[in-house]
Amino acid sequence: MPHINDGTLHAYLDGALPLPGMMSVEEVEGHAASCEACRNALEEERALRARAGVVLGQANPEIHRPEFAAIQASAARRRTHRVVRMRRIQGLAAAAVLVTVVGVSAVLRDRGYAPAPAVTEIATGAADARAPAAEGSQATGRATEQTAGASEATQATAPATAPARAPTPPTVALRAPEPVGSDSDRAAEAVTADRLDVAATGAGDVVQPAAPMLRPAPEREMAARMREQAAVRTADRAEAPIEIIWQDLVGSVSGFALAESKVGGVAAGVSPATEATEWRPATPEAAAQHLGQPVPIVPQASVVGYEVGTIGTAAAVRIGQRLPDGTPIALVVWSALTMEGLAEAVTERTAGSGMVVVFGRGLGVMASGRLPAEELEQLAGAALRSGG
Amino acid sequence: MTVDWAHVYRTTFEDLVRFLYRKVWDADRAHDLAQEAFVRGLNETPDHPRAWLFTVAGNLARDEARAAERRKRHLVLIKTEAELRPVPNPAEELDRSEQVRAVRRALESLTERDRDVLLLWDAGLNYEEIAAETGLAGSAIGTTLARARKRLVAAYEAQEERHAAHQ
Repeated sequence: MPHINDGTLHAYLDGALPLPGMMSVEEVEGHAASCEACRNALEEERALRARAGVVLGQANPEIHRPEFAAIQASAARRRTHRVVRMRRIQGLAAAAVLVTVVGVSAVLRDRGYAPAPAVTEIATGAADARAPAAEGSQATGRATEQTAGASEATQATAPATAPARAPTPPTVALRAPEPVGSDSDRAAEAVTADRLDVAATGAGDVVQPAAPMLRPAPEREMAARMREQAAVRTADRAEAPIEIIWQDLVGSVSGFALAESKVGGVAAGVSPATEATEWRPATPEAAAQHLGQPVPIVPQASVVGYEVGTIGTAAAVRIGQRLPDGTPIALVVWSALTMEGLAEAVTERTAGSGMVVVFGRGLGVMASGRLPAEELEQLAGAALRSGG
Repeated sequence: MTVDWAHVYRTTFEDLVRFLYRKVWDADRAHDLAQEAFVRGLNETPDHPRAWLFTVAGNLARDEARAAERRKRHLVLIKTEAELRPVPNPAEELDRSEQVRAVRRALESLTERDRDVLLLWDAGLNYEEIAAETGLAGSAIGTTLARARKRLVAAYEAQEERHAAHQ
């Protein structure tokens, strides 16, 4: 009988036998018992296998396993974002259909054909589409439903039996489609998410009784929306430890709005602010649970308060702290899945306001405050090393 | 079919980080990529979750290599934890870094196929899972592993000998 080959010996040592086309465990052991060469080969391969394991074991990293709940939370947020993105694409497609319909209607009118139905009817069709009688407009109506987004809420509240106004001019506000894949995608996504939220609550209304309205630049729109919400948020967070001053938005990079912040009422430089995120005050324990691990804080600095929220799809915690000399600093800690986005933001630090990000433990820590960048860097590093 | 992701997470996360670490050679990135693989997994219901995770992780590691050059720009501005972390014992730390570099060089001396099979085995995948992952026949895994182990040990020991000769 021929000797046992190396592959079979390793499969035997790895406990992988039996495998199709290979010797069984009994056959290997029986042969090795009667063949000294194979017995020796088996021992050599056993030693080689052990040695390879030792070599690989010298390159083992320290492993910190976050709480499973943190992974689940990230996955849930990812699902939500996927839905938002899909709705946005559907919205753009519907916008294209709407623009085409309006354009064709205008051309037909110019050429003396009978007046086409007004766009209001089409938009109303979105609401009517759910009624069996409106069969003919279902496809268009469904498409328009997406474009109108928030307008659907308005349409839904209008009387379903409103008289048709075919000859009247269109009364739907047109939004210029935004180029897909632009730098402002994520910012726009946040705005879209917000818009959907508004639509869901029935509070939104993008239908204007006038000529087509062009969409403002995403950053300006974000700023405008933040200002609109500022009064509400400021009232909500009168006692909040960290106050993001939405009116003083200083920029928006990679979808992350940068705003002036205050910690315990004292100005503390810039902080990232995502429009879709509602930061909520939290206890230290709840913050750690939200983050999935102990929250890094700057040692020797008192904690003013914790807030929890999200940045992109990552769980995030914001901590207000005061250094021993009273200087306020804000830390934003997030699961580093969105590292690249914020890393890019860091490259565009706002002049005159310190903001530094360091990474470790699978986390990103952004320290902001009116301090030199080097000091902030040390503080963020100290927070990372603190282990919470 | 539902997947008990909590169980898979408990039993696989460490293996996945180790597997990724030996591909990207950055512990933090390995953690991030492992988390990313699980985040993606939780939105899927694969038949073989563990094998699926390693496939995704392998792809993420490949993407990571492509993005590495781009990310170097940020490293000018962003200090990594490694630079900030206090070094408890410089000599010990130096030894450890040298060991890791030696293992890395030894692994890099293997063919990509041999390296993948070896790392997947070390991460805890069985022959059947490795075969599915790499497209090799199950009966070829033993031979591949035998060759990979021999080359790894030979390359590592050659470095040790060179290192000893310099001292």
